Amino acid sequence: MLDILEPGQHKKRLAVGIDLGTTNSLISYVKDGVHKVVTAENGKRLVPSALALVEGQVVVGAKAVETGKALRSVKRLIGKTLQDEDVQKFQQDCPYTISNEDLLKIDLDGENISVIEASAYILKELKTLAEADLNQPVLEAVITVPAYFNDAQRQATKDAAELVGLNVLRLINEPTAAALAYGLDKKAQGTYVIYDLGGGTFDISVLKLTEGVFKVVATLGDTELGGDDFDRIISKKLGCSITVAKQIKERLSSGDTEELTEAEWQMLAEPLLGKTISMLQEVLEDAELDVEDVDGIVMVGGSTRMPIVRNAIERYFGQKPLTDINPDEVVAQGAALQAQALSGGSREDMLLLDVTPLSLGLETMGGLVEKVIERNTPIPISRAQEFTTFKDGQTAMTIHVLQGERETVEECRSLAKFTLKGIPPMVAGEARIMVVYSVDADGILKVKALEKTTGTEAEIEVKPSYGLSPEKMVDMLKASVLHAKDDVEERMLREARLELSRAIEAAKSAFSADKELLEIEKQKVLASAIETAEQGLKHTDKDMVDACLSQLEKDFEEFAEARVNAALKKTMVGKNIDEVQNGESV
Amino acid sequence: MNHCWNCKGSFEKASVFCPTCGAICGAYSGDYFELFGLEADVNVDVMALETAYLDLQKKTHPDHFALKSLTEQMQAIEFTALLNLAYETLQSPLKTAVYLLKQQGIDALPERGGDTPPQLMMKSFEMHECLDDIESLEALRAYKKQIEAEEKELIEALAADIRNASFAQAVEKTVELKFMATFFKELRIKQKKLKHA
Ligand SMILES: [Zn+2]
Repeated sequence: MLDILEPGQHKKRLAVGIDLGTTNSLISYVKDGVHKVVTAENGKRLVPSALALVEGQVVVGAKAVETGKALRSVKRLIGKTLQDEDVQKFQQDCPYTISNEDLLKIDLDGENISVIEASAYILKELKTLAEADLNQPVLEAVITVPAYFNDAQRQATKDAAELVGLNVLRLINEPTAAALAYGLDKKAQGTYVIYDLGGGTFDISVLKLTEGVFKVVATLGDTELGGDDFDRIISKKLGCSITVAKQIKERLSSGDTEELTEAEWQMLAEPLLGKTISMLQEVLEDAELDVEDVDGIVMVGGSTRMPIVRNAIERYFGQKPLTDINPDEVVAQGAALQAQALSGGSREDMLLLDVTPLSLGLETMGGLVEKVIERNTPIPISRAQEFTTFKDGQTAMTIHVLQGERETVEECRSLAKFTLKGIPPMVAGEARIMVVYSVDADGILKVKALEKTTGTEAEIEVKPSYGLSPEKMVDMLKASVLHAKDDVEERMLREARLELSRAIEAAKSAFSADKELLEIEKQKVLASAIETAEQGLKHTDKDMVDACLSQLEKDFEEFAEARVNAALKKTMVGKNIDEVQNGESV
Repeated sequence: MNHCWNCKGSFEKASVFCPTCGAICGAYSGDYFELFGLEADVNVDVMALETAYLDLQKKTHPDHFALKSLTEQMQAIEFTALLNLAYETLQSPLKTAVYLLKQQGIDALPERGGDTPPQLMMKSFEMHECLDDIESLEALRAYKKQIEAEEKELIEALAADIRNASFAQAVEKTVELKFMATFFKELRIKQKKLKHA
């Protein structure tokens, strides 16, 4: 690797991977080829996805859990409305009141925060931890989402990240991230099943890997099944508390306990294990695969540490599942690898192809849904459909976009309902209205419409049933409690200083390594440029700090070029320049 | 003539990357076969398609433009959306046939479908009767094999029709191929039922 300070190169910061989980979250990064999970203040790597209000301040993680009344599992609410069954169910077990204004909100002891903000708090905590660990601003991330997450949930996750100043390089599916963690390390090829048993959720995905390309072939999940159910059956059987049940469960991992023998435990857990196995059968059928076609099973989620789970998988597939990577960290590791690949610029050897997890369709006559984009279609994708008017002189038309696999509107999720206005009045059936649906690489949908006979782009009024409009985003940024207690200016100054100091460090090391490339006079100029930049660190105005950075870059431009050329001559003999420039230069 | 959004230059031959400045141009003007460097035929060389598809994805996937300007990102999204559609089309002989006929200005499967030809009606009737009589997974598998072989023959004949510009016959066979695709779905449902019985 060449170590060259290139113009604009200071902008290349470390991008992180974030596993924003229902129960716990993690942030990690890959630096110098090593994957590292950031530890929280208490030395733990898993940050509980929990919030609480302490003395008017929102606290996150272990501190929130300590209050005994933490708001947990907000991931179950993201991208949803109060009418959703899941939200109603959530409310039953939640100590706080959930309301539906424009967005779903939670009354956290008088502090009314939206679900997006709640997720943002967790992301902010993770971001802060990583910044402290890396001693540099963290501004770019790859965030994982469950494969079954719909458009609204993906958009809301991205909005939450944006609220805390995180640019989402890519949302990737959790199973894909897990496969990435294994696939890249081991160059695995073939058909893989990702078995993800978390605290409260269970997901299975079938992935096909060929030449470093990942394809999600099928997915299936149960948001009501997880490790907690195993605790519950012990608690019920023995009449003990959940806490005690958890301890017994742990001890059962290393053999018989006083309370339960391994054999009894096996019997007791059989219905739960059987449920996961029958779901495996279903998903394999969906993918038109037999057990023998599966080349490996990746275990994800803390609950897959239970020997009874591993044994059940081994029996079903006739092979041992992959367990080398810590099942709590495997998703974050995959995200971090992808973040590194994306922030390192073009890396042609790695390609991640994802698919639409759910079908997209339109409401048609009689409340039926017509599929426009089938699930498991590789993304990005766009599809065009043509419509016509059915009344003479009709100038408007309503389009209802839905997501889901079922046949009727009631059984699918409404994504957006909008009215196409400004259609030129014509005889019925004469107008040609082209509607284009595009799903981007994050799985987020955009709709565009065009009237073809007159060539005019019809006015399109999109009323999303979720997410934030750009204006709303700005308002929220200003008003949010997130920022009221965190001086934005101060943070930006801090980030600008960090950036400048990194550039100075890079300039210094480049200068001391290769200053002989320059004449003595030029050397003096650069040495003083570094000094000036160091003085710039003392500015209290962010713009001044930024100006110093630009000046330093400018001063070093010529030198950087000289270094590139020298390095090329030295190490890249025989390769063409394009190859080198497109390659990595970290 | 194609125009580059970046250098404003124009170029004649359809290209994903501008021949002058190398910028990715989302609005690719060539047809699906040109895109993958394949011969225009219903019978697509599957291996060559796969290789060409992955090769193009490796150069154009939006991930490679994650740090580039928004315009470049949009161009990459636009192109890969087309790429995925082209790939999906050529992977399926039915969709490929429809695509090839469309190039001839023929809509082989109009939305308000015409009357089913009597011969196909008879065939459909017989096949459904066969399917209803099947009671074991083994028998179903054997029957599926038989239908698959028939489908393969039909695809060959359809490919030949299009090569010989016998488009009226090609349309008939495309309709039949579409019917068989639907029948395979029914086969799978039956298979599921038998498995769970
Ligand atoms: Zn150009």
